[in-house]
Amino acid sequence: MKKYFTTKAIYILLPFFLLLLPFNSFSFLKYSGKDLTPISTREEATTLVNSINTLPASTYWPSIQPDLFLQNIKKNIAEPLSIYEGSYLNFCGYAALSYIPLHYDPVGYLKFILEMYTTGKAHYGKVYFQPSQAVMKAAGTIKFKGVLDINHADQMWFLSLADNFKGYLNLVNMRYDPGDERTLWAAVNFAKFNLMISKLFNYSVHSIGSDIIRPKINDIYSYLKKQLESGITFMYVDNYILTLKKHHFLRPAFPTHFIVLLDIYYSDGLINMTYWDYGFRTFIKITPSFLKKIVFGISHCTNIN
Amino acid sequence: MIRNYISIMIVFVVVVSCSSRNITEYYYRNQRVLDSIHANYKSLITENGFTLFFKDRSYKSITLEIFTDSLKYIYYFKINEARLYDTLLKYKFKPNDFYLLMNDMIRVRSLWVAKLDYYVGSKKENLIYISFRSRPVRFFFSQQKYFMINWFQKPQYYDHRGILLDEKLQSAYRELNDRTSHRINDTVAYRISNRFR
Repeated sequence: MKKYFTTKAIYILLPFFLLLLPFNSFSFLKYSGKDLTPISTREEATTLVNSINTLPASTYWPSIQPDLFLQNIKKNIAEPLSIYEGSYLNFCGYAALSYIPLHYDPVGYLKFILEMYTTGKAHYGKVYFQPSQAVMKAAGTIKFKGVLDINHADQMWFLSLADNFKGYLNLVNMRYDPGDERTLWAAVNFAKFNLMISKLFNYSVHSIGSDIIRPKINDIYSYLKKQLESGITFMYVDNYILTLKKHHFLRPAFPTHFIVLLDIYYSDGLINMTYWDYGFRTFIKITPSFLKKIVFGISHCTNIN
Repeated sequence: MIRNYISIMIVFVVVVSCSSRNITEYYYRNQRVLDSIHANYKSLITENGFTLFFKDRSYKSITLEIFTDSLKYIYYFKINEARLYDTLLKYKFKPNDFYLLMNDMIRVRSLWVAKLDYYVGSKKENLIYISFRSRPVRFFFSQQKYFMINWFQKPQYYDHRGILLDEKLQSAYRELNDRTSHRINDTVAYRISNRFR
């Protein structure tokens, strides 16, 4: 029944969203300088997390299994690229931004996640998290989504982020109900993504692009190459085209996925691109026109701490 | 009279070509080829994990995703390209087995073959699955559905209607990529989805 009303609401509210879109989706946050100095190191975080042998069950997160939670945070510190959004879930935006704390401030991430676990609330950057009861009950219960099933700390992290940050896509479903991790409740639009990074990590975010219109850049390869040299670069892409499903001829292009650009260079007339796509680093060779077709947003982030 | 006959024939062809396939029946009718795809893919992924996707309706070009320890590589090839052969050698795949796999997939008009990891409690399991269009032809604005045949490593639990149960909590249905699966036999099941992967 809820799904029926959500679908109806989307159709009714869509024209209003489209009117509001320029104010919501275009994102030109301030940009200052170049700094990627880590706030803390992986070694410090490893020492900290290895000093914890067991955790008691949390009274705030009844479904989280302490052993799986501890195993998950240890793995996130040891292998920060292993974090996985879960299959068929709308957590890709939250998984993408996890790249920053896990690489540049793992101790900050650890302290936050442990405080959330023990007290049910915590500060991260400029944001105060106090998740709803429904979200606290749900963390640890997400099943059949691949390795996310056993990653209880990631379930807590993604659900808390989705519960706390709201963009225009979330207006039709603001309150969490079980199963909402695959609905618009968890969706991330471009402006929301940039805002989350700037508020959580106190990073300077310079972004170009939107949720429906591609950025007007003539040489997107050179632009990305330059961005990559001076900061962390996130791309907001049409993953449907990226997986090259040619069977649907009439599908309109729109962005569906956030990825982290790791490397880009020219070879044999093709662009060689390596990006992080949750759980895996992916290497792909594509033409410049194809690159232009898939990219809807680029966010460039640097540390201003 | 002839015009009526032609109209009836057109309607018949459209209805037959657009009707959903009976998947269990389809599996048993093509069992030899389908099981060959499964066996061949299973032996090929012992070297490196990979997925194979036919990206056009004419089955002339593929997307090949190859998983190594450090990276996932995505390649696009025409099926008769020399580059494909070189790439297979580079990643130590047996080219003959790979081409046999491709030909079998083309024969049954399969789109995609892959391995899927899933968890029973905290234990990792995996299955091999292939995808097909549920309807060879579809109406212009109707949504394309895909059916997938899953090969499990061991016999599974099903309820009285043949729906796959969660192995640990046998009171709940197991979902694979958001869909419940239906029994074909103890180790083979199918699911229907609006995505092929």
